[in-house]
Amino acid sequence: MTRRLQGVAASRLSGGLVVLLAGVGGWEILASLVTAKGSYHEPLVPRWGYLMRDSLLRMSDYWDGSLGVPSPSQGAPPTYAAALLALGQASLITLERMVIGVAGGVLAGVGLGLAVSASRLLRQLVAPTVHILRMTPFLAMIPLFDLWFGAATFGIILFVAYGVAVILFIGTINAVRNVPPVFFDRAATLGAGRVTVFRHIVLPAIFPEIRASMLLSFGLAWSLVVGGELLGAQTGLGVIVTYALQFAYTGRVLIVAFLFVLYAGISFSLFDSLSRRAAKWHPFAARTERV
Amino acid sequence: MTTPVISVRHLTQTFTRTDGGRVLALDDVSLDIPAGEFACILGRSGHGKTTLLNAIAGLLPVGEGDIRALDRPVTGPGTDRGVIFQKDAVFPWMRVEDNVAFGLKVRGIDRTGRMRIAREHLASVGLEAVSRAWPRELSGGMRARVAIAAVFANDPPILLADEPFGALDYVTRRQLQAVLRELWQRTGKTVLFVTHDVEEALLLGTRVIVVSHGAIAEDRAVDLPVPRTDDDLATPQGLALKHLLLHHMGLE
Repeated sequence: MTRRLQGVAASRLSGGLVVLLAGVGGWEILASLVTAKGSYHEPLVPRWGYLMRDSLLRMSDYWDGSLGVPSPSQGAPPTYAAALLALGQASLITLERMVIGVAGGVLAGVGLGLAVSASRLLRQLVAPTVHILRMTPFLAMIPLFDLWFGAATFGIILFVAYGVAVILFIGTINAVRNVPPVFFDRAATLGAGRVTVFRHIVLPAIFPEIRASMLLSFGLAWSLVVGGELLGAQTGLGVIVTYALQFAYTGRVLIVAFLFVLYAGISFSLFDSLSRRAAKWHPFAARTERV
Repeated sequence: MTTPVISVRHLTQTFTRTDGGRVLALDDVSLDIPAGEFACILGRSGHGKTTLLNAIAGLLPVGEGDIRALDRPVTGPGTDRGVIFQKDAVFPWMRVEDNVAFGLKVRGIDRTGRMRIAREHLASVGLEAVSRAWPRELSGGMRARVAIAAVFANDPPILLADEPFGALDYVTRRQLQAVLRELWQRTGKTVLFVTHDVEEALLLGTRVIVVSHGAIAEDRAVDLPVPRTDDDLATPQGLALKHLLLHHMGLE
């Protein structure tokens, strides 16, 4: 059994490796065919060598010169140390906004969704507003968040939290509505009151659906944090993209895009494995395939 | 004369369909079930059996008339009336033993005590080996055993069962009928058992009540030995009863 699983894991790994190598090779072929350059003479489809040497090295332009590592803006030559520090610093800022925004959004969305599910009065008061918000394109709200809460960290966190909360709110209401009534009936005939039903029936029963909503909202949250940073922030990965876009530095845009793919992938699989452990009772916990 | 354990008086239940039509599910039903009886409610589907059971369970608001259980008016579900449901109602997020212990937990019995009771009841349905398993790891028949153990662990004087074995295969159904009959004989609970299966009603019931078009069409004591074998059902008396019930089901 273990042997078979190892075999499955190995074949999946080698399969992934083949796809990766094909992608890398395909890109290199494409780059050698397309030689068009942007307005500042940077190739529009840069080769790997160019990406790793020039584009990555020039990331040091975004380093502020602290920690004793000098920055090109102070007249020093670009270094990989400064480049990696710049990327690390921007990543930390963006990740912090993302994590706090998602956590706040999940708490607010699930909390409000549960409250609305429990109370008919609250449902009539809150639900129409939230349904209108759901229809509003999230990115269209960025200027409003900029104006109200500023384009710095606080505004972006609120923006991410808002988007995540709307999805989790809808997801929670639907999840509660989808709990099979027979579970409530059985709990009632065994003597369970409202608090017990909430704690021991509603919460575990809705978890698989909430989990799906959370996975959905993570994808959205990455878009929202980048969107927020593209439009007005002074720090973070989105800002590197904004500057790179102004000079058509395709290579730098690509490097940040790779980082986003990497972080999004890590956050998905981390949440996936944690949530499987939290719901061992559910059939999805026994399945090995990943989304 | 002793007070019946379940007493239904002039119960009328109506529903409004989503298309606006009115459905008369139960029409002036009166019924007394004395202590210790195994009463089978037999009828075709859509004739009001489940409505009657749910009303007694307190899962439906009582329409007209009144229902008393242990001489108290029924206004909602209560621990005096345990229910085995038609659908699989075992909580998938609780281990088998926690499912069985849930009613005891709700009633505030400490963990050691309720786990001891839960394991005893799991043993009585032959599931002691899987007490720590998740319900998804069990077969449908094993989950039905969990549901039975959970109800008996809570020890209600009244047991209501709504076609609990309807979805199971023949062999499993026969096994579970035997399990339920043994537990009933051992505990002396008053049982109201809804079924659409004539053979099941004759095999288990000390009394068979036929519900047809929302009213009681037949109400017969089953004067056959308990426990009952297929040979008992093949006696002239058993066969006469079977023909009567088949007639009420519209088959003869």
